[in-house]
Amino acid sequence: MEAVSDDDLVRLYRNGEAAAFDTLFDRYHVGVYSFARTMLGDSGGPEDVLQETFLTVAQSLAKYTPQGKFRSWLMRIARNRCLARLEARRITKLVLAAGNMEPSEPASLAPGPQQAAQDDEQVQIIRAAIDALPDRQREALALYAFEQMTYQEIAETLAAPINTVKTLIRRGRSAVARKLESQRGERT
Amino acid sequence: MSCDVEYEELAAFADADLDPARLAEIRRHLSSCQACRRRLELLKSADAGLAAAKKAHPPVEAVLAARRVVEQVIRPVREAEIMTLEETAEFLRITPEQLGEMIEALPAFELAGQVRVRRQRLIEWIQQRERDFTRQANESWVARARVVSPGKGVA
Repeated sequence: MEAVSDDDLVRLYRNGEAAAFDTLFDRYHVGVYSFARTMLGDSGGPEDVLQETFLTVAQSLAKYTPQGKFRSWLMRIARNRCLARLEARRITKLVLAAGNMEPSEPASLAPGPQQAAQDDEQVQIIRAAIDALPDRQREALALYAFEQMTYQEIAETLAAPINTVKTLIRRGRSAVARKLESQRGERT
Repeated sequence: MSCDVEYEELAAFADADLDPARLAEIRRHLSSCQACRRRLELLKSADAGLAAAKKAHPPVEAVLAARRVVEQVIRPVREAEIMTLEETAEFLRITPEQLGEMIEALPAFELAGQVRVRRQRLIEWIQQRERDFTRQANESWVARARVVSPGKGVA
């Protein structure tokens, strides 16, 4: 049986079927959390981004225009939440640096013990490589690799031209390959 | 051996997203450059590794917390929902046959020859039944207490 499309679920919700929202939540909450964790790390509040994203979606669904782009719209909301947190983190670092103080909690992107236990060595190397990427590459690569979004969807999510998205993803993939190369001692 | 093919271009090559002349050029180059062949292999390993790096699942408490917050927004929609008798039976955790036996007591309405129940009215009806049940249970307990200790009574 073919799954009901996101836009049909939005229409059902607007027609009073609250359960349609539950289906949208079930469909995307792991993706939103996973993206936020990649962007912010375990200690950066990915669970808050999960909560804030779906709250915003529930409050803003009336403004969404069904054009088959629900996932891009949803992930854009999640991304904006992540960027706000990254910005706040940068400001905190600047303030602390100006006052010659150390952050009380390092903004580590390393996976927590639970996640680390689930990963094999190669995956851990890859996660470390992703964590070390600049924000723009990291978000594009996360959407490409983990969410398996198309270049077009990612371009819509990041509000960027498709060629920029391709470049960001290729740079990200290349960085991961370089990391594997250095780990294997195969530098030429 | 040095060459001018960078990882980024090899990634575009792997996607076959270069103009045909450059694609052919790199293909020729790969046949003679072991370093680039190794880089292409590493790139494929990276792609395979990215595909294998599973999504991070949220802790159960985070999912429940998000659901609770969202529920505050969608509750009015949920409560205004109109249910069929099958959905009503499922909601009440009884069989449709059991529901059929008490259909006259239900806060239902008829629409186009079909019986429907508004969730909000059903919730109010359940709350009323809870109050009735508690009151009856108390009365029955008071009555029993009087039988057991007729002289003392219960205030």
